[in-house]
Amino acid sequence: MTIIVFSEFGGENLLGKARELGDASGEKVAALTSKGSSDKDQKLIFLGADEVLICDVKSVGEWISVISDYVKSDGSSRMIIFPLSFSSSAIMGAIYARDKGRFSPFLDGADTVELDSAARKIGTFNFALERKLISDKVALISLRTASVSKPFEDTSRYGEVRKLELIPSKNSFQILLDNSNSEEFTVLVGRGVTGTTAELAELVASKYRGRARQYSSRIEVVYGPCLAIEMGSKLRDLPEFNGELISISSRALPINSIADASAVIPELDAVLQGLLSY
Amino acid sequence: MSDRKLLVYVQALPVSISSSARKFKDIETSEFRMSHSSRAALSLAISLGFSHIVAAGFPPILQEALARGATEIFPTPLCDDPLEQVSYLPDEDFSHMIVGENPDWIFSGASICGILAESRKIVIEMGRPNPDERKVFSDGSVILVIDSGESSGTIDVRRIKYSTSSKINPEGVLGSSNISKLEERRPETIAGDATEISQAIWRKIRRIVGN
Repeated sequence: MTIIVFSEFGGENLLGKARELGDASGEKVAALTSKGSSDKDQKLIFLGADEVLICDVKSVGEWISVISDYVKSDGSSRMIIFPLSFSSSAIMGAIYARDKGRFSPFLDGADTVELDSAARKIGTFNFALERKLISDKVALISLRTASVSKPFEDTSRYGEVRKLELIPSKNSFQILLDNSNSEEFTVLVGRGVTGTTAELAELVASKYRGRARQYSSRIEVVYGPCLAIEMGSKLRDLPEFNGELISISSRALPINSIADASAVIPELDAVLQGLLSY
Repeated sequence: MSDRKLLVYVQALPVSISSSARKFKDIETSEFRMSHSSRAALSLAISLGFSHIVAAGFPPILQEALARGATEIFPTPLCDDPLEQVSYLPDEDFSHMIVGENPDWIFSGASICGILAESRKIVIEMGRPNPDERKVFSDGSVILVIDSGESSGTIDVRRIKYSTSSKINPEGVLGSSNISKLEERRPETIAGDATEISQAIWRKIRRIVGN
């Protein structure tokens, strides 16, 4: 049996988790990727793939046929793990619609994946919804990259590289989505925070590939992880935080009671400068 | 105003989950609210200027859909499987189908878009509920509405009477997933000087963003 990792859009970061599952079950790990360089293929092997499957796709929509056709002809696939992104989810949905009898279960935004199940937290509740894997079907799972450890690059690993043929499909359609998702890292800056602190917050967001936002009452939900800086609002005025929340402030604030982690320190700028120095 | 119809899929989310819930079906007794992304999707639909907007989704949120500008409703069950969910949507010739990104549900709006695009052979496009962004969408496309988390308008008070007087037939909850309780979250207080605090936060952010 094979665990396939869709290694586009940051999916290579899921190879460590797939390797862990593969080692536990004795199953092969295959990385599916577009045509690149031999260095890229080798890196996927170092990150945990036993086999790298390369296909010369030109558009996102072509992945639907590539994956559907491969799973149909190979017959040994157990699950396909995708990185959570708009494009990945659209590809997963289209594959599922094309051949439902072959694929099941389907789970978007999983926090955990094991050999027999995958699960995700529901909204802000302390509950998870779990989907059992089915032995004769291929699971389609998109996984949050933040939920898994970054894979270790082991240069002593060996693997194979194989090219897949792209058979043109008359039934293709365009997917005009980008590869982002709304669960990006947000640095949320409290009302009235200006000057050096606001500038440092912008730099922290940029360094960690997130975005800085000045809080206003228009912000109702923050979907991804959030670093809140000096967010002095009352609890009822705060947005809904769906991801992990870290708060730093110069004084004790109501947000600290709902944050996963909080720090109170008058020298906020020194903390932010520290975050820029690592 | 165009005579053709728009279809907006609206996603229901439970407001609370009973501690005795073990199966997906057990959430049937919960209260539900409309997802933030579905509100954004309705906001985009209204900004496109169509006179007929059909909101399809789980009945407990359809009165809100009417109050937010939908002119027709189409009740569906609430499913834990996206393909099954799409199978309950009306199969008419819509000018566009509009879906919020719904990252807070067990299948996302992008997955629904992928299913609709594959089964109806139509283009998937991205839209934003911003009236300043007058984007022209391809005819017949399915539009995934990106949700910035910002407010996308309030209920139209002139429509409240109409929405509350509309009779909506109930539908069930369908699915085989299990529900399990997670460990209670224990808030962590980070103490120390500026260097110690920034190191602790750096480790957390690095884990979160994978740096």
